[in-house]
Amino acid sequence: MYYRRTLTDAQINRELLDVVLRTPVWWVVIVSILGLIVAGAASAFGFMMNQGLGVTGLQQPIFWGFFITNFIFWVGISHAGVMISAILRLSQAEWRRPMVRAAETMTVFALMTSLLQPLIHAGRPWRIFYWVFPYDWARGIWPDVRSPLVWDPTAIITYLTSSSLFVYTALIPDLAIIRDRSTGWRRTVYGILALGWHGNPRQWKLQGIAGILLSALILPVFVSVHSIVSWDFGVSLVPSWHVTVFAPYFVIGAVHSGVSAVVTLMILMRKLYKLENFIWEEHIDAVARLLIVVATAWLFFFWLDLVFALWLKEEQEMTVWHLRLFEPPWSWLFLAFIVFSYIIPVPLWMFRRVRRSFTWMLWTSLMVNVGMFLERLIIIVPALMRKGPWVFTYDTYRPSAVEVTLIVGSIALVALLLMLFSKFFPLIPIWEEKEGQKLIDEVKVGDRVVPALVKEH
Amino acid sequence: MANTKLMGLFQDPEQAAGAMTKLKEDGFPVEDLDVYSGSPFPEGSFGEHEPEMRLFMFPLVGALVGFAIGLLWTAGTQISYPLVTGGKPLLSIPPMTIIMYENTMLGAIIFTVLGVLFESRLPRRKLGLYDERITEGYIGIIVDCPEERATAAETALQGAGAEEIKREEG
Amino acid sequence: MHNGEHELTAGPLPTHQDVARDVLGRFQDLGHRYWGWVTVLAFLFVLGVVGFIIRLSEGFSDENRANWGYFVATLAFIVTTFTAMPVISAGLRLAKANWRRPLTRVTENMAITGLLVVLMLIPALIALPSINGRLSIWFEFPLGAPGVWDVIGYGTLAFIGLALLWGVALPDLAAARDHLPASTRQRVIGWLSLGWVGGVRQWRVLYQGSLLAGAMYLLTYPLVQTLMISDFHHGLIPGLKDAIIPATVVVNGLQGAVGMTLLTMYLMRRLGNYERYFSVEQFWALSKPLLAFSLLWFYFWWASFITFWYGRQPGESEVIRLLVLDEYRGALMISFFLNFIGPLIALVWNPVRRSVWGPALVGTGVVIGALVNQVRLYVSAFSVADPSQHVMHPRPATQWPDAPDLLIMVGAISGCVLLFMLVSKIIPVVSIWEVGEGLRLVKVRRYLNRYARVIAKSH
Repeated sequence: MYYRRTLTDAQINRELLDVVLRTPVWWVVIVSILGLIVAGAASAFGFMMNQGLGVTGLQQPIFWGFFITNFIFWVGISHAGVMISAILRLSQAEWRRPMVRAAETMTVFALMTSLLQPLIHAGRPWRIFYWVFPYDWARGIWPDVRSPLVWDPTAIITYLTSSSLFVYTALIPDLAIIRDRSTGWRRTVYGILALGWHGNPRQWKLQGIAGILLSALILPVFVSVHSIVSWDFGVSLVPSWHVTVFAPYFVIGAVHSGVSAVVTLMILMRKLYKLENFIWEEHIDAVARLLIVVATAWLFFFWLDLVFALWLKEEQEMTVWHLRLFEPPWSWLFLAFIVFSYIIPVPLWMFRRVRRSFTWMLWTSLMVNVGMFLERLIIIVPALMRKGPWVFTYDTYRPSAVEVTLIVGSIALVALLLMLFSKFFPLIPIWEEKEGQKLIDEVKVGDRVVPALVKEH
Repeated sequence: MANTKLMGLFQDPEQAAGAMTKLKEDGFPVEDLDVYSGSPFPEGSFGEHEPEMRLFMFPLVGALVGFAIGLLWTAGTQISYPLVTGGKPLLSIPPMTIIMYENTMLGAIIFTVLGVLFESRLPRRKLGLYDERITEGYIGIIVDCPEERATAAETALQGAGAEEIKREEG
Repeated sequence: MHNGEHELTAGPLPTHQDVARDVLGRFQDLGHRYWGWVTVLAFLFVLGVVGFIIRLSEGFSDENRANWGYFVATLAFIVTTFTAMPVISAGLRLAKANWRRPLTRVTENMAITGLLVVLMLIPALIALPSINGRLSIWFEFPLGAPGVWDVIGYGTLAFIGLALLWGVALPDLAAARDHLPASTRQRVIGWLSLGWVGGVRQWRVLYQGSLLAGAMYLLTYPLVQTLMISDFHHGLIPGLKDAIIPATVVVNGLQGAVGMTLLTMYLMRRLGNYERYFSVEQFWALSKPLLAFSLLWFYFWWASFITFWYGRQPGESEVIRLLVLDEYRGALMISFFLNFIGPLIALVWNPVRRSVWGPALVGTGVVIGALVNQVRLYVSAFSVADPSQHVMHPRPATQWPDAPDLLIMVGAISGCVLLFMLVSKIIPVVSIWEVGEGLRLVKVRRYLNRYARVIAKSH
C-alpha cells in the first residue's frame, strides 16, 4: 500500500482542492441534471400533498410501503460513515484516510434524506410536529415516549447532530487550508468557518483526540439508531416482525449496505474528481475484505431470523414466510435479494482480481444495495399482507408512479448534496493525507526493503 | 516589559526541529515556543511543550446534562398526561431508558466538540502572526520573548535556516 | 495519546536469539513449583470425576434432568472461556496485529480443552430429553439429531483447535527438539515437530495454514455456541423464541475468551515471571475489544429483553420472569454487573485500560460473570419439568448447586488448567518464531527531535 509516489503538501492541496477552487463544466452539467430530478420529485410530492395519499399504492391492509422502505434504506446507508470512519480511526487503520470524509458526509446527507421519508409518508408533513409538541396544548396531551415512533426522531436527530459535528470538527484544518488559498469574500467565509485555526501542536493533538473520542461516542449512537428503527417493527406483535434479533440484524444489514455504498462512492469520486493519486486498488481491496466479514456476519443474523421465525411453528408466522419464499412476485424478489446481496458479490470478492478492479467493485457494490432495498421491502410489505378481522376490502401493494419518482428523487438528492458539498469542501481530508505521507518509511529485513509505518506509540 | 513575537518559516521540518533545539539551548523556555504546521507530526517531533488539558471533563458533564434532560422529558410527559397504553405502566423504565440514552450521548457529543474547541483555544478572531505557506508544508516556529531577546531569537532562527522571519509587536 | 510515550531511545532491542534462549530456558525447567501445581490441579480434577460419578449413579431420566443443570452450565462455561481463547489468536493474526505475538500461543494452547469439552458433551447429550414432541432447532430433522450433529460440531471445533495449535507450533517444537538435552520428552517433542527444518516452502505453508485454520476456528466457534444454546437452553424452555440468543452467547464467549486470556497472562506474570512478554501493551490492547464485547453483550441482551417486554404474550412473560425478573434475577444481576457495568465503568478510563491490573481485574470479573450467566441460562433450562408445553407452567424454582455440582465445577475448571499446564511443557507457551519475526519488523528510529517506532508490514 505504501509503494506510491510521494506528493508534496502543495501538490496534495492542488489536487484535492481542484473542484473547490474552480468550477469544471462536468460538475455544472451533473448538478443540473440531479437538480432537475430532485425538482421532479418535489413536484410529485406537491401533487401527492394536493391529492392525498390515494395517489400512492398504499391501501388496506398495507399502509407501509416504499416510503418506509426507503426510510430504512437511507438510514442503513447512513451507517457507512461511522462504520468506516469510527472503526477505522479507533483501530488506526492507515487505509481509512481517503475515505473517511466522503463516508461521513454521506452519512449526514443520507440521514437527512431518510428523515424526509416519514415526513413524505405522513402525507401532511406539518403533522410531524405532534411528535415533539403536545397534540393539544390546552389539555396537555403529550406524545407517548412508550411508543417506538417517538424513539425514532430522538435517535435520528442525535445521530444527525453528532455526525454533522463530527464532519465539521475534522474539517476545520482543511477549512484553514482553503482560507489560505482563497481571496475576497470566500476568504472571509472560510476564515470564519476555520475559526482562526493555526495548526499548533495543541490543536493537532486535540484534533487527534477528537477523532478518537468522537468515534467512540458516536459508535454506540450509530448502533442505537438502526436498532431503534428495527424496534418500530420488533416491539409490535406483527408476525415475522416480533423477533428479538431484529436490532442487530438491521444494524449489520445497514453496515453491509452502507459500506457497499462507500465503495460505490469512492469509485465514482475517483473517476469524476480524478483522485487516482489518492484512491488506489489497495483501498478498495481493504474495504472489500471488510465487506466479506460484514456480509457473512449479516448472513448469520439473517439465518437466525429465519430459523427462529419458524421455531414456534405459529400459523401466521409460517404464512408470512411462505408468502416471502414461495409466492410470486415475492419469491422472485426474495431470490433477487439474496442473490444480489450475498450469493453473487461475496464469492466474487474472494478473488483478489475482483477486489482490485474498480469496474467489478462498482457493479457488485451497487448490486448489494439493490438487494438490500429489496430486503427491506420484503421485510415490510408481506408481513402486512394479511386479512385481519373486520377487514372486508383488501388488495396487494403496487407502488405508484409518484412513489417511484420520490424514490429516484431521494437518490438524486443525496447525490446532489454530495456534489454541492464537494464544490465547497474537499471530499478527501487533506490534512489526513498529508499526515499519512509523513508516516511512510521502510525497513530492511535481510536483503529486502519492506514498506513500514512510523507509529506514534 | 513589552513582549514580542517572532516567527521563523522553514521549508524543511529537520531545520525547524533544529531551530527548536537551538532556541531551547539558548535559554528560551519551551512554554514560550510554539510550532505551526499544515498537518500533524507525531507528538514531540519538535521537542515542543506538551500541553495540559482536561478534555475528559467535557463529555462527562455533557452526558449528565443530556441524561437530566432525557429524564425530565420522559418522566415529565408521562406525568403530565398519565395514560396507561398497551399495559405498559406509567414511568415505564425500559422505553424511558432508550430516550435517556440518546439524550445522554447527544449531550456528551455536543460537549466534547465544545471541549475540543475550547481546549484548542478556538475560535480566534485574529490570525495574528501567521503565514499562508504553513498550509503548504512550511513549518512556523514561534518565539514569544521579551523585546531585548528578540535579536537572539532571530539569530537562532536564522542560524537554523529560516527562510523568512516575521515579527509581531505585542 | 499517552504523554511521554515518545520517550523511546535508540537502545538495542532484544533479538530472536535472546527470545529463543529465554523461552527455551523456562521451557526446559520443570521445577518443584510446576509439579506442585500439577499435583494440586490433578487432585481437584479427580474430585470432579468423583462428583461426576455420583451424578452418573443417579442416572438419566426426565425426572432427574435438573441434576445435570450445573454439569451442562460448567460445560458451557468451558466453551465460553477456555475453548474460546484460540479465537483471539486467530482473529488477531488475520488482522495482522503486531502486539498479538507474545500471547498467541497461550490462547492456542487452551485449544486442548476442546478434548474435555467433547468428553463432557456426551453425558450432557444423554441428559437431554428426546426432541420428539417439543420444539427444537432440528425441527423434524432425522439422523440422530441433536446428538450426532452436536458431537460432529464440537468434535470439529476441537479438531481444528488442535490442528491450529500443532501446526503453528511446529517451528517452536523444532527449536525445542534441537536445544533440549536428550530425554523422552525431547524425543516426543522431536516426533511432534515432524522434521520441521524451516525451508521457504514450509514457512509459506505455515503462514497460509495458520490463517486458514484460524479462519475455520472463527467460523466454527459461533456454530458450536449456537448448537449449545439452542439444544441445551432454548429448546428446553417452553414459549421461548429468542432469535438473538446464539449471537448473545457468541459475544459472551468472545468476552470470556478475552477475560480468560487477561487472567492467564496476569497469573503467568505473577507466578512465572513472564513480564517481558505480557507487557502493558498486551493488556492495553486487549482491554479495548473487552470493552467493545461487554457493550455488545449487553446490547444483544437488551434487544431481546425489550422485545419480550413489549410483546407481553403469556409465553414471553413467563420466560422473562424466570430468566430476568424472578427466579434467576440474582444471577442476572451478578453477570450484568461483572459483564457490563464493571467493564464499562472501569475501561472507559485510559489509565485503567493502560495498566496490567485494570484489564486483569475486569477480565477476572468477566470470567466469573460468564460462569454465573451460564448457570442462569442452563440450570434454569434443565430445571423445567416439561419442555413440551406451549407456555411454561409452573415456573421452576431457583436451583442451587449441591456438593456433586460444586465438585464437578471445580474439577472441570481445574482439568482445563491442568491440560494447559501439561501442554505447555510440550509446546513452549510463548511463540518463539512469531515474537522473533515481530522483532525483525520493528525498528526504533530518530524522527526529527524524538525517537519513533517504525513497524514494517508483514506480508
